[in-house]
Amino acid sequence: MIERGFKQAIELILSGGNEELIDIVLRTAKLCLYSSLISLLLAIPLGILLGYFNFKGKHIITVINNTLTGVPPVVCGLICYMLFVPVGALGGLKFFHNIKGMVVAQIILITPVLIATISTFVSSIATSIQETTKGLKLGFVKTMLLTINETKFQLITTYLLGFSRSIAEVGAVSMIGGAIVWKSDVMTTAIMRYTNMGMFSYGIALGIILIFLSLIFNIIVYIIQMRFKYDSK
Amino acid sequence: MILNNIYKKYKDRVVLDIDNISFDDGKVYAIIGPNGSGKSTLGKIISKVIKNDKHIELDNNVIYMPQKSFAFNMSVYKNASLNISDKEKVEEYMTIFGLNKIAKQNAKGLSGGELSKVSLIRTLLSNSKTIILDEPTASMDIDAMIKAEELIKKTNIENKTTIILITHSISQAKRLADHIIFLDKGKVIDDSLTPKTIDKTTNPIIKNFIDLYSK
Repeated sequence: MIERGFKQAIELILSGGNEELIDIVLRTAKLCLYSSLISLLLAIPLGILLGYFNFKGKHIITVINNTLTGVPPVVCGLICYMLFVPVGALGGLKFFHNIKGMVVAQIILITPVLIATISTFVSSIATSIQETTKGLKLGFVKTMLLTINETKFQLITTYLLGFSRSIAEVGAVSMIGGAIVWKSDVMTTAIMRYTNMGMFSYGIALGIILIFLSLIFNIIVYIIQMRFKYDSK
Repeated sequence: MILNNIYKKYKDRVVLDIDNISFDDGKVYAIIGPNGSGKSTLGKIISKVIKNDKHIELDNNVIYMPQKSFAFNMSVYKNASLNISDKEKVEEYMTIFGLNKIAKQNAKGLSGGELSKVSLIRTLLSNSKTIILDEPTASMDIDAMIKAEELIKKTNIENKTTIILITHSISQAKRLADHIIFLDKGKVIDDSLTPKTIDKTTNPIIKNFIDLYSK
C-alpha cells in the first residue's frame, strides 16, 4: 500500500500535480513567506534592544519571551480561534478560517524564537561594541546601525529558523485556518487530511514536496551565508 | 579638568575610590599601577563609558580607546575612519602603520596588533580635546609602538590635546608623559610624579612596582 502510494506520488509530482495540489503548495509558500518575514521584521529591533541594553525589567521580559518560545502550537491556535471566531473579541477583523489568521498565529509562535536567537547573539557582543561606540561618542543611531550590521550573518540563520518553523507547523494553522480545501489548506494540514482519508499518494506527494522545498530553501540560504562568510575574509 | 568623588563598586568590591584628581589642559598624563588597581575603570568613568557610582560632573567629549577594540564587520579603512571627517589624514596614518595595503580587507581578519593600530588612528583623529588611551601599544611590535608613540606625541603637541595614557610600561610613561599618576587598589598613591622624579620615589608601593616591572 505504502509502496503503491510512493509510486503514485512520484507520478503525481512528475505530471505537474493537479490544481488542488498546486493551490496547497502556493498557499503554503505564501503563508511561510509572510509569517517568517513579518516575524523577522518584528524580532530584529526587539531582539537587538533586548540584547544590547540593560534596563529595569530586562530579566522579566527575557523570561517571558523564553516562555513564549515553548508555547504549544495548538494552544496558540486555540487562543487565536477564540479571538478571531466571528463572535470573538477580534471577530470583526475577519481573520477566521483564512490565511490572515494563520499568518497571525504563526507570527505569535515564531517571533519569540527569533527574538531569543537575536538577543542572545547581540548580548555576546554588546559589551565590546558599547566600549568602542561609547568611547568614540558615536551616538544611538550609528551604534544601532553598526550593531545591526554585526548581526547580518546571524539574521540569515535566524530567518531560516523562522521559515523552517513555519513550513513544518500544523497545530496552530489547523485550529485557526480550519484546513478548508481551496481556502485555508496548507501542506501540513493537507498531509493530515489525506492520510486520514486513506489517500496516501497525495499525502506522500505533499511530504516529498515539503521536504524538497525545505531543501531548496536551505541550499539558497546556505549559499548566501557562505557568500557573507567569504566576503568577511 | 578637575574630578571629584570618583567611586565604583562591583558587587562587594570597591574598585575605585578617589576623592579628587585633576588633569591640566594640553598635558600628557600616564596612569600606571598593578593589575586590578582601577586604571581602566578610571579611564572608562572619565569618558562616560561606564557610570560613576556617585554624582560627578564630566566632560561629554572625552574619547576613550579601549584595551580590546572591536573590529566592525566592514573594511579596515571604514573601521579606521568610523567617526573621522578628514579622510586624507586617515589614509596618511594608515600608510604610516602599513595598513594601506589591507585597507579594503574586512577588519574581522585583523590581528590584535593591527586592530590596535586601527583603534589608535580613529582615536587620535577624533578632534577631541581629551583622549584616553588604554594600553594602546600592548599588542604592537616594537616598530609599530615607536610609530604609535610618535603619533601620540604629535597629537598632543600640534592639537594641544590632553592625553591620558593608561599603561603598564614605566619606560613608556617616562617617554611620553609630562605627569605620572600611580594607582593601587583603587586609590591614588601619588599624583605628583614626573618622568624625572619617579625613580627617586621613596614610596614602598611604587618602588616595589618599579622593581617588579624593571625585571
